[in-house]
Amino acid sequence: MGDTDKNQLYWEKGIRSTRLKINTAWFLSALARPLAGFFIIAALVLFYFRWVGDLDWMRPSFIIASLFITTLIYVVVTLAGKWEGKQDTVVRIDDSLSLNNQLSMAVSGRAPFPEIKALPKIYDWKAFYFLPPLLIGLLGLILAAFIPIKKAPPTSFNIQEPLAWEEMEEELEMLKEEELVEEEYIAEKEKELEALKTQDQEDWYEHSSLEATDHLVNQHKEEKNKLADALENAAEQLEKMESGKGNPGALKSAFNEFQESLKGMENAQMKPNKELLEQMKGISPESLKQLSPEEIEKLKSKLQEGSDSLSEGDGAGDDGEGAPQDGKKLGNGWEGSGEGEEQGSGEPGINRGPGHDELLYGDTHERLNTEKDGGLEAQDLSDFTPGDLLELQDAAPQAEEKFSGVRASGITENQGRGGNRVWKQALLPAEQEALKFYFSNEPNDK
Amino acid sequence: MNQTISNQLSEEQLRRGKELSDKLISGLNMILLGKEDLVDMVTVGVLAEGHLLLEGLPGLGKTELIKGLALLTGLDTSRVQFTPDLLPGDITGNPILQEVDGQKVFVFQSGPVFTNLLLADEINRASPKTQSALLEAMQEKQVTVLGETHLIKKPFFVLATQNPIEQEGTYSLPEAQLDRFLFKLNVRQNSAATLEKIILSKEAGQRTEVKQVITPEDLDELMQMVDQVYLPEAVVSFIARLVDATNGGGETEAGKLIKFGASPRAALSFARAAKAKAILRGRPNASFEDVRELALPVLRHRIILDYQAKIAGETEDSVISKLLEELPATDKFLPPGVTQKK
Repeated sequence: MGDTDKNQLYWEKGIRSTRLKINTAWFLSALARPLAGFFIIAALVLFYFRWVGDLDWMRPSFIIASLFITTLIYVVVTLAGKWEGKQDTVVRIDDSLSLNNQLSMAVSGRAPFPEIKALPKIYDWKAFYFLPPLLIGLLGLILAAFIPIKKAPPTSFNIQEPLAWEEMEEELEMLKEEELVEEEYIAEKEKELEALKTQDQEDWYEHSSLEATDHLVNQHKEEKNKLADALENAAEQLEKMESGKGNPGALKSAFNEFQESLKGMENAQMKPNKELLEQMKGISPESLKQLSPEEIEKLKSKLQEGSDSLSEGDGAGDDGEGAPQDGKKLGNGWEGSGEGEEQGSGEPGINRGPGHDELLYGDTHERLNTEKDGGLEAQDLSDFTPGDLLELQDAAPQAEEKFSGVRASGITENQGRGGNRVWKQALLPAEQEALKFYFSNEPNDK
Repeated sequence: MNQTISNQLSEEQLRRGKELSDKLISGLNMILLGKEDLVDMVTVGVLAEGHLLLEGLPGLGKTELIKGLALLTGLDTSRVQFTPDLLPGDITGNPILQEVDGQKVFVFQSGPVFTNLLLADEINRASPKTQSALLEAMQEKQVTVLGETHLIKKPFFVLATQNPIEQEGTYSLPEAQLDRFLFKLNVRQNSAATLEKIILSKEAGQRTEVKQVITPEDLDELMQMVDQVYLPEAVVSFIARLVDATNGGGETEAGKLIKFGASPRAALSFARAAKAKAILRGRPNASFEDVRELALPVLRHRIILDYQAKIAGETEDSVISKLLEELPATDKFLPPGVTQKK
């Protein structure tokens, strides 16, 4: 290898390495501040995960790695057009070594490469450019990683199951223990209940979920009542059959009734257990004769117990709710409340309001002791609203002196269709207080 | 600029160019002792075919230098002593009414400008009107009198001397004329050692024998060589950025001290002078170093400083030096995380 080639190799290598150094400086300079930003964000991410107590390092690691890659991409994008080219490096070396542009000439093929000289140091690092942001960033990261912190209160909490589910569960458990009802029914109900439970906790109190729960509970109660009634009826008919052994007509009638009950039980969803059902199926006027009184008594008491047991379970469930969901308990309550527009507050249901207050339409109105068959002005001033004052009179109620014939009584002008009544009840406490004060004073004081 | 490698100066040409220019430089150094830098610049100016303005106090050898140059090159020379009563016609020449073949006609009597080397001594003692008589001659190398244009023979140089303008009876040269001078060279006082040499040589009765060292043809050859010198793109860029910086470009601090910057003619002068300098050094290309060495003579008479710079005690030379320090050879910046190694 001649001197010329040697010189060429030396300078070309020198140009490459100088260029690489300058470009490295560019990259690091461009990276320094975004890197500090990255460290701070990474510290915040780390801090957050420690704070929430997430011990899985995968998520923060992934986020931090993504942030780092984003930072690198940002740096590379901002460096577009700033990278040092070969010609730029040649000029720098030429100038630094005062080569009179001989290197530029050589690179362009116009002159031989200059004699070998030590490559110049083009730049000095500025420590203060890099250190402060990096130190701050690193310090933040170290603090975020090791500083003792109080963990955040858990943001997710356990949502309590709807009460109806617990009650339903208890009841199914009880039925299972008593072995009174067919197991398939219990299994089916358990499965339906489980399906509701497997929803997201957040959906447990959604309208559809509560509606389904409501439906499940009501259906179960209905089935239970049906079975209780049927068992009770069967027990009654069995007693009649026993007592009517000497009377074929009564025996037959009671047997038919018994068969009806049995058929009803067979067709219902909730069936009695197979043993009891078989025993009941085995009852006939003929077989009855062969049974000893003790055996009949045993069967009868079994049926009665079953009926009682089912009825008891029903009552227990309603007390907790206190809502007018049980037709039996309400008596003439909500079963009739859905009829007609006048009282049309709708059936109780999820998101449709709880229906009327219990006993709102019952017979507990205060007696006013008028005891006259005539239209009376309402004197119960406690229930008045300011608008009603226009109708007040100073005089006492004027009852008719003379009986003018039979008229319908108890007709009220305001039928309480909702709006008016609600408006009256919706007075603010201060307004109610003012009203009471107004009417509690003597007329002269007004 | 897009010079091909094939028409690049050969080693032989470069050697001859250096040899001829060295002869000229040696001759001038014999005439003017202790002023090697000035002699170099004068030689560069001659090779670049530029007009030179020499400024300095009387008695520093300005006129001697120019007279010596005329002798060394064998060029046709004229000398005009500029005075306040000098008229333009005294330089360019006048039409004189003469009888030719029995008819009276105006015949142009050419002035001292029709020469190769015009020594305009104490140019700033003449009125601006007379100073301006040289404008056309310096730029177009011709003179127009009474609508008639007369070409001046080539090569044509104006080598002017001027006293510092602070002196009595001086008129500042107009900017337009200043811009036509390739260099403004400051002739400084001699050092004690130089003065000693001068005294000794004079007292000993030694007369410097000045002989022609190069012919006008040689000079022409040198000028043609200048044309062939390669001007690298990076150097062109550097010249352009430097001139631009005097006009506020590049956001340099020194540039802000300049009220009026150099013209494009300055950039062209730079390029030409840098190439001439390369011939003196025997190189086939101009370089950053050439540009830096030439910056002061090329720019100092082409910039006007801001009054604040003057108040701050800055001079044209100090501002140009700062500009050179600020301006890197390449327009590619270094990263912000590093500092340029000086």
